Amino acid sequence: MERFRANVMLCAGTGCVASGTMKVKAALQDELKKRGLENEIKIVLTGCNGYCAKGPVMSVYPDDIFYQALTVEEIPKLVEEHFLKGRPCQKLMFKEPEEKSPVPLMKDIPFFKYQVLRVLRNKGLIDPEKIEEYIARDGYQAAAKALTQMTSQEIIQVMKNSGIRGRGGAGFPTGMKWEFCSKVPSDVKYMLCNGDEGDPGAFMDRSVMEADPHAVIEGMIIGAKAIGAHNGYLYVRAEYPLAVKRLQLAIGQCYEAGLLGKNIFDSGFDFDLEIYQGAGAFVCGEETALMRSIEGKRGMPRPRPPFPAHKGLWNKPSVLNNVETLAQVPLIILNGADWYKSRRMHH
Amino acid sequence: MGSGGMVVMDDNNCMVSTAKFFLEFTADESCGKCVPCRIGTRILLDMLTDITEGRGNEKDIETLEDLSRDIISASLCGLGQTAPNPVLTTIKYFRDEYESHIKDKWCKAGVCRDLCTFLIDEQLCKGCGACLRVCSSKAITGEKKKPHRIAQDICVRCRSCYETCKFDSIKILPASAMEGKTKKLLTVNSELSTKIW
Repeated sequence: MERFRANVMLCAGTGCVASGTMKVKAALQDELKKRGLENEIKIVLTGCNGYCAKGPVMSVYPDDIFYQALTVEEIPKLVEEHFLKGRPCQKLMFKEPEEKSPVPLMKDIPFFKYQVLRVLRNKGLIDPEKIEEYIARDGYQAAAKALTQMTSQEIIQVMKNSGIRGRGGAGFPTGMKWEFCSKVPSDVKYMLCNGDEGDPGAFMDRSVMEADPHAVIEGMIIGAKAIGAHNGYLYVRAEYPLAVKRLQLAIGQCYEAGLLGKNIFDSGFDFDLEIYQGAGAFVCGEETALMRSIEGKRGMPRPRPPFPAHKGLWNKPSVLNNVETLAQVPLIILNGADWYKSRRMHH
Repeated sequence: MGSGGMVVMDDNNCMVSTAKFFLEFTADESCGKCVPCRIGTRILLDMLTDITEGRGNEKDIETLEDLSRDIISASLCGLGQTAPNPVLTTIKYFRDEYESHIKDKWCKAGVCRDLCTFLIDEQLCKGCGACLRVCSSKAITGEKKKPHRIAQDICVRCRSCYETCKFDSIKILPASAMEGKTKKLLTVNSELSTKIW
């Protein structure tokens, strides 16, 4: 394995890409090459850090130094000062509006300081396009545990005990939803993920899908095992091209690694997953409309009951969960219901 | 909206326009299957548009509330059931803004262009020229260090001068503030502005 002196984690979420990440990356590459540092410093494109207002942003590990509002013009100076001379470049650091002294470390910046990262545990730390980096951060451990050591009932029980509720907004208890569906006898069931985030100004699903696509897939594998589904769809709106691309890559890597497809983890459990791109209708974020849309029909809701747990996609029992809900699932399985309960908000 | 996202606003935002923005979105995105949502959101939007353009009448607030409740109870899915929420909550918490739009034809935030007039308070203006430079329609005139003026027949009410002024000298008055007076180069003095404010 190649070893590098420092890792440059350059934010490549949609916000930072729009403000010029790719140009900065090219300039950085050129400059590192010019200085003969390309084998010492590694550039990693990460998911969204949530600090899009000051994009493009990057952090340099192992020092954890955070730079913001990068421009192509600043790069030569930055490379010379930081990577050649070892003097972090103060000009590009975060400053409190009223104060003059810069805050060099990401963990000292107020915006990041008070964040406790769970769903976004890997944001800014891994390359979302590489499955190895997700696995190195305990990725697919939960899926392995769920598939090889737990029964469907046990998974559902953990989910119910944890008290997790749907993050799409309605807040329906996820464990109960899975239980309803698991009790319906059927040879074909579907595990679905709702990535059709269309509210004006809402981007939480996008940042999860872009920063950590494997967490969503892992959540779906666990959910599929719990309800007994062998097919799944990730419904993502086509207006999120980067999320679609990264999920597509992630699914491909999973098939290669044997984490999707036949006999996952030698457990005898099969699960196939594919992406369905939404065509831009807001109402397709509603579960029954979303299912009609996957069927290729006009996306319109229908009255419930029958609930999707009984008659969902193609009239087969189906479970639809929000992106963020699914990204929590691996954590709950790995750390237990009590861990999750102790950290959730009290209503 | 549905997912519980949060938008932070201050007193520079007009609540009627904000409700209108959300209704534009939901009226566009209604799938058309059920009547309350398809037609109801459209009527709500039309009424809000009327209010923001100065055609509101006093019964509108009541009608908006009634219609909103009907849409919520009769719609099939979450879209129709939540679409009127922006209207109901803005009426609940900012009823005075609706009333000033309808009765006084005055958008105090200066967002609804038909319901406001921008004027410079002569006593507060330092003549720094900042507003003069940002005015895209060149409606502001004045010499350095002397109070500036806004030509009302040229002003497009874009708010640029209001946002730029560091001395709070630009006041937003009702559209009717200048009625019956000459529409050429007008200024407002502090007496007038304190009377209205």
